Amino acid sequence: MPASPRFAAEPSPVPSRAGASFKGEHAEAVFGEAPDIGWFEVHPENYMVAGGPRLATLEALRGAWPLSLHGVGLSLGGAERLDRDHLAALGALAERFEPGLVSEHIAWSAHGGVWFADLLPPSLSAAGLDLLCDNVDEMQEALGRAVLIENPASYLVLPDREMDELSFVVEAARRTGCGLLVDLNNIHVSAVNTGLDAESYVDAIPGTLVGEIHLAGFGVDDADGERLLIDSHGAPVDGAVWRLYDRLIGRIGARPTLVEWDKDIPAWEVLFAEAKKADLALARLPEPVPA
Amino acid sequence: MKLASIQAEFAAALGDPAPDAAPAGLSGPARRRFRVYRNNVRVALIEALTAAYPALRRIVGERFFEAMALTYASGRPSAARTLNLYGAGFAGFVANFPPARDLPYLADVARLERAVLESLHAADAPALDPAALAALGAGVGTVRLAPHPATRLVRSSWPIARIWQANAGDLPSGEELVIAADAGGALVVRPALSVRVEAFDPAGCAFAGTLLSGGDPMTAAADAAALDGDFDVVPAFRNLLASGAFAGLAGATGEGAEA
Repeated sequence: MPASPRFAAEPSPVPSRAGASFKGEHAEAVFGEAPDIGWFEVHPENYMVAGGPRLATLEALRGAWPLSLHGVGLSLGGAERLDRDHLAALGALAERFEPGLVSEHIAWSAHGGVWFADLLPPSLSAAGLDLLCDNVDEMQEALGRAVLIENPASYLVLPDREMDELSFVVEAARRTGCGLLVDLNNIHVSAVNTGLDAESYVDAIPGTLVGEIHLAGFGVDDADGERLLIDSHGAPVDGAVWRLYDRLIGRIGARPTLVEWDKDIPAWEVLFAEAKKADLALARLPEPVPA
Repeated sequence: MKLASIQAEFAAALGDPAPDAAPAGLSGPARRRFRVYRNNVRVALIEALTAAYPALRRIVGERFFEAMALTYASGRPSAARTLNLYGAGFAGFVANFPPARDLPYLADVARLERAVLESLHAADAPALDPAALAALGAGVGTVRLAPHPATRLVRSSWPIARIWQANAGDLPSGEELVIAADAGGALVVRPALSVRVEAFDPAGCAFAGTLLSGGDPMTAAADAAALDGDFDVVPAFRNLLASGAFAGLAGATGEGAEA
């Protein structure tokens, strides 16, 4: 392990204001209306195709707005080595579209040659931390830049847990030089599901490490007679999550803030209205004290 | 418990068809909550098939389609780290899915929808400029053409292009869909980045099929004429070129694009 990380998060061309997930369903509205929104984010996996209209649309989007690539397929928390082909495909997209931000999850999603297309719970242990740091190092080496890592939504606690999630990601950032993508919906969902205190989690996040914030809606499942929150990305942002957002940006200042919506996708106006709410919250912040 | 064995048990339980399967290392509420992950994994695959096979879903109905997709997905996880092209074996599966036996054209419609998906995501290439052929003069009869990467020809004894248009695209208004055997097939092309499906009769199919597999226009015309003595080669060739089915002139052997 190097004494100091080779990569360090640098100021990003993605502005510290609201952005939205870009969905093909919204292409007509987005290109037709040219809304006043700071940036867009996509899952690079959806653009890992040889050619065709999807890549052409992303090209047009990138021509008009700053872009963030938010990966779901690298399996940074996985016990197996990173998939070289996938990393190469990610690198090719990053080279072509020059995103202002690149992020991934600390979850794992692949095992034994199978990709699960889901974010599975990482081991919050010393072994899990070493593994995550090796994988983040490899990702950053391959892309030649610092990346952001995101906290997952948790439904259960694994038996090998040795530390809390925040200590885990902060230590990974310290060792690798990566930044944090703080998903406040995931913190709220995990807090309800596993009995954490969301406010103390948010209050303890080191502001200097935060490169991006995610907001999204959740679903509720009470099939087992207990209330379980599901990170569905299919609903408006909950009031509790907006309160965590005000609390976080009130302390650390403005950051690029994404409103995610991946299921039951509403009309563009609905998603845009959510993004405008985040912009309003950012605009209410007092001017930062000059350094 | 070691990290590697936790993930191995998790992965095994995700692939276990038993509805209450859970990793051995989990206990109490964690065992119950594991089903959230199982459900997510299944739903992701079913959603990928739902997006790729809209006509099939409309023909058999939502519930039938979901059951069929779940049966397919249960034993077929994704090796790729994206689901953009998930379901390569779905049409073959549909052909042998006993509850779908009453719809003999269903598997061919699935093959067409697969061809549409592959066409959508195929590599970009400029279409062959018909002027390049005009410049060949009489030599055009023996030229060989390279198919555009997004071109697919799907042969069927059912009117799959019309069935597809009626269920995924738009059937020209006022036209009635008649499902009768011996219909030829469908050509899938992607001019100007937009996928188009065209119905071909058996002679048109033979003509396009021979050209797309590297045969020259003279051979293709003979193949079509063998099925239809009145086959008019000039407009057929002009339409194929205008649809962007070819990317350029090929060498002695062309690449096949038969789906």
